[in-house]
Amino acid sequence: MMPKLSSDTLSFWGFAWWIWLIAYILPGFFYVSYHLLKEYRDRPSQFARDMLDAIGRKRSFRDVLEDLLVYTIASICFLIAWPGFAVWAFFKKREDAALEIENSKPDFNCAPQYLTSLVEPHDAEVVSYVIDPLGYVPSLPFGHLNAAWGIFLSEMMDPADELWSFHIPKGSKCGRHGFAASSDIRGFAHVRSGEIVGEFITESD
Amino acid sequence: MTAQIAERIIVGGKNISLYTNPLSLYLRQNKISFESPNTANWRGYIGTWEIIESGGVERLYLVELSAHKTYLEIVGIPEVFPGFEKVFAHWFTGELRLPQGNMLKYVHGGYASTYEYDLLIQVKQGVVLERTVRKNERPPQTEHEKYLSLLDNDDA
Repeated sequence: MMPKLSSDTLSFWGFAWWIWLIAYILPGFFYVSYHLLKEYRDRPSQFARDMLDAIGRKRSFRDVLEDLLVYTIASICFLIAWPGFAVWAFFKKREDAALEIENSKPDFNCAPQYLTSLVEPHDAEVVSYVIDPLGYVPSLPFGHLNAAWGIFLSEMMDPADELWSFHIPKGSKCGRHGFAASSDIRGFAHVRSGEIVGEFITESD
Repeated sequence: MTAQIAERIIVGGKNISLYTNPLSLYLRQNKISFESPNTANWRGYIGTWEIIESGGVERLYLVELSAHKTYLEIVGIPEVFPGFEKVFAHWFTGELRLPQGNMLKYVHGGYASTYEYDLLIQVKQGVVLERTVRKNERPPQTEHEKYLSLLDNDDA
């Protein structure tokens, strides 16, 4: 529908242009007002301001003018371009949520490329006994790590769970951040549906 | 981060500093943690290690432990490894770093300070494989350190 032109005002769908302008600006206005009020409410207390005065950090008239200028420019920008900011905030929120999910995942040293072979828990235990002529290690699978091995196995209850041995050579990238391994790392990984969901390290530095 | 209190290791009858934490994997695997008594000991414990030779093979043992279960309550090997007075560190594979000589550069964090020499002991599953000595050079000053030394000279 074409805008209707008249001698004194420009109207769209029966509303004057300034009504459309107000309707556009209003959401941004409420958002800016809310944040300005919040800023005002969160301003430094009188005590904090007195402390700043005492250490010679009193705000000058110029500081106040600068703040006024910054807030004015920011508010005008937001009033004009608030839909753009809203879209940016939407994608930023989604990105942050995805990042939070990623960060909340457990961080394992082992990655799929370091898996060496599928093993049975019993076979892993048979070769895990530690020999110490002085007897300062228990005669149990994985020696002093036996309790941790028990906890690790207890989490493999699903029939589809697989136990894989792994070896990360010294210097290889490992962990979520891809740091270089400072020593050889060996152990066993709990694999479910092709994904590593647990690890038990038998030797590392 | 503050420079950290070193572990101790007895080598050739001498009790010297060890800039490696061989106990960390065991503690992580068993989900054991201690309370830090101060910023120079974030891990909350100090272990004393010893390399003991038996049958021609040298092995790494934990021989003493002082760990803060709480700020005031300190536990030792019997509490962490029930039934044992010494512990064979069969889980440890890597390098033990024993700093030697004068400190060339102090770094206010972890075990990052540089000493004249590092005695490096390679260990595989708790068994000592070889020992080497590394001679260190004084690391070059960073731009920040140059700036700080300039300020010091100005103060003088």
